[in-house]
Amino acid sequence: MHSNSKRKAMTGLKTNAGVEMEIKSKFIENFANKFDTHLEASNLPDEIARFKAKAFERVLAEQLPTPKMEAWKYANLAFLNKYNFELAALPTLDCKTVDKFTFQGLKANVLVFNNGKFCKEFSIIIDDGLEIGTLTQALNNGFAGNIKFELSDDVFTNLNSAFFEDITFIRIKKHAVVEHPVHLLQIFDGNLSQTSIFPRTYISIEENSQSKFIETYQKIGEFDTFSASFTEIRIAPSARFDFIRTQILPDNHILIGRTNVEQDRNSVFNDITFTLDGKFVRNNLNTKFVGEYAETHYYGFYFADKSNYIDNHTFMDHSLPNCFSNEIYKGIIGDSATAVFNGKILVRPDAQKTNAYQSNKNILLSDNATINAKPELEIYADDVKCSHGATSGTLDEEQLFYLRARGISYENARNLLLAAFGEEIIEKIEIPQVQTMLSELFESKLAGKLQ
Amino acid sequence: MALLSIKNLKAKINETEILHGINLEINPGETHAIMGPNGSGKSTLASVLAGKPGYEVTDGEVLFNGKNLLEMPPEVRAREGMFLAFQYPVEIPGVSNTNLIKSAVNEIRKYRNLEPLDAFDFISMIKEKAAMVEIEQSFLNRSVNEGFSGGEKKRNEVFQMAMLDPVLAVLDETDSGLDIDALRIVANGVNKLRRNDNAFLVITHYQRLLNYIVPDYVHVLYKGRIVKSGGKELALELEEKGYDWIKD
Repeated sequence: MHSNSKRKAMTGLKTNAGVEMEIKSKFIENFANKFDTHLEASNLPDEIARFKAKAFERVLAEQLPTPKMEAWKYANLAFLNKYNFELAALPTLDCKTVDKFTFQGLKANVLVFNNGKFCKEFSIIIDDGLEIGTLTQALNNGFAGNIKFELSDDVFTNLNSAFFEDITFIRIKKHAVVEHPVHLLQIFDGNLSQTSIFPRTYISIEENSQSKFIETYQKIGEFDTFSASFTEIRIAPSARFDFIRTQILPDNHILIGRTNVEQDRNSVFNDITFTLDGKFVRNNLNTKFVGEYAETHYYGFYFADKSNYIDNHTFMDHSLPNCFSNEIYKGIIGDSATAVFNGKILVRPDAQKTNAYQSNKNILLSDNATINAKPELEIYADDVKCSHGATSGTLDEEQLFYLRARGISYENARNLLLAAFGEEIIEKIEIPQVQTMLSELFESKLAGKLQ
Repeated sequence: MALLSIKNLKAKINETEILHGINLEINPGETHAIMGPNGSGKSTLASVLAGKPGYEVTDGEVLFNGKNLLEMPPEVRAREGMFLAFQYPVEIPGVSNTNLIKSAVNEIRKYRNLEPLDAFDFISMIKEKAAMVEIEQSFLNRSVNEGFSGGEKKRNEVFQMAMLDPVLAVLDETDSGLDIDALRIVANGVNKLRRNDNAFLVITHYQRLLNYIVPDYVHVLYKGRIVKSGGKELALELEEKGYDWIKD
């Protein structure tokens, strides 16, 4: 057991830091008032508590990012100051609610998370190759051996480190071919109060295994919710791993998330990020190669309208030779929405024979819609193939006319072209039920939009 | 009543007048050919008839089945029975041929107060028309014109024409870039569609196509005006003497 005095000493140090530093934002101040209680209530080992304290010190030092910071250049986060988020309390979940959010006709392993906390009672595991556990379990059985507790340059990741309740460890065993998809169902519960949620997941894809994950997000309850998630993925040699995240959220959820992937030798990773709605969405997706001959594909699709803000920051870190990466992000932006695509590719001096490609295409549906597209290529090796391209524009007039000349109305012609634009990404989803559902959602959004 | 009646049609693009007063009447059952040198306004005429954005009609009128064609948006012209076979058919990645043709057929049927075709009727119709222009079923699942050869694109235009069964089809240099085999296939397709209740306007630079699609009337377009009209023998005369003969 942990001694109370030790905890108090740590939190004391914490509070001091808070007092010395002027807290400039109400958003951070709100969390400062909750941190001590959070840490005291936590059952996690001392080393983790100490890490949490350090992470929160960093949060206080950094404050809420402003557009002056390169990483948040296009975002105005000041709106976060108007909330008083509570830390996640008891779940209000029931079976019926959970059932509603699973894919019809899809046999899958379903892992349910309520406000970031794994809910065993609602989850179903059907494949032997999949194992799940808490941080304490993982520390006890040695499975957490590879996890590094490090501070981040990103304030929301540090906020996650400070406030996560537990870390969910998911393991795909060596040589396992996991037959059914693994559905991570994140339920954001705003039934009781404005709630902040800090999902934290560590996924270990062991050697030569194959699996597909799909993460979906659901909002319940009237109160506004905010999530800052952190997912770490380690892909061992020769493993093949697909990760699909579908983000379709109402206006009363603020979604900020980071996924850091490390890929070892000969592994293949496919990531699909599908964002159909969201008042404020920020995805950070990073891959670092820790072995040669690894291959990564990022596919992204976003459809922002109303006053949505959808922001994808990706970072492909080619630290070793002979790796391949390809990135295709496509977006439709309407009304007065803003979308951001910032794709960084770093080819370090030793990373010869790198192939790295990136493409970002956008269609703007209105004069008030904004796209900020920024490719960032830093190449320090000489024997590499790299390319990037970014386009933004309206629909092709020649194509529109061709369809209309066949008797198709302007609205339907536009829908056909926009659907075709999105399908290029949707068709990468190799789970038919998921592909069909997303296609339908996308097309019904188009139909509603353009009536 | 004429099917198409063009009177003193003047049109410009980017402030440059291209058509300086076209007069033309087409009756049901007729095939008209318009020939002329490059830059004479042939494609502009086709574009204006189909309602392509960017062209401004500055004078004259066009009646189609007695209705004011120029007031209709492009899709309404198509639903009224006008069809343009494009000189340069556009590639549309991600939209399959089947999807395009199904949307088109059903929107046109809706306009004419007809029920949408059921799946069976649609498929049998597709099979019949595809065979007519010698295109394979697999071709229909591909994206519209994407990666098609020149000949495939033109055959696809005629296939769409057959599916939509227009009252007036305008063929804009459908022969350009076609080898002789593809030209025969395209022309055979068109000939099978000719009836006494529809009409064709064939725009071409060369006479060869007119050996296969034999016109009732030939018009020579030069500098935005029809400067000469005659029967099919006029095409042969042009082939022999070239366009310089007209210019004088």
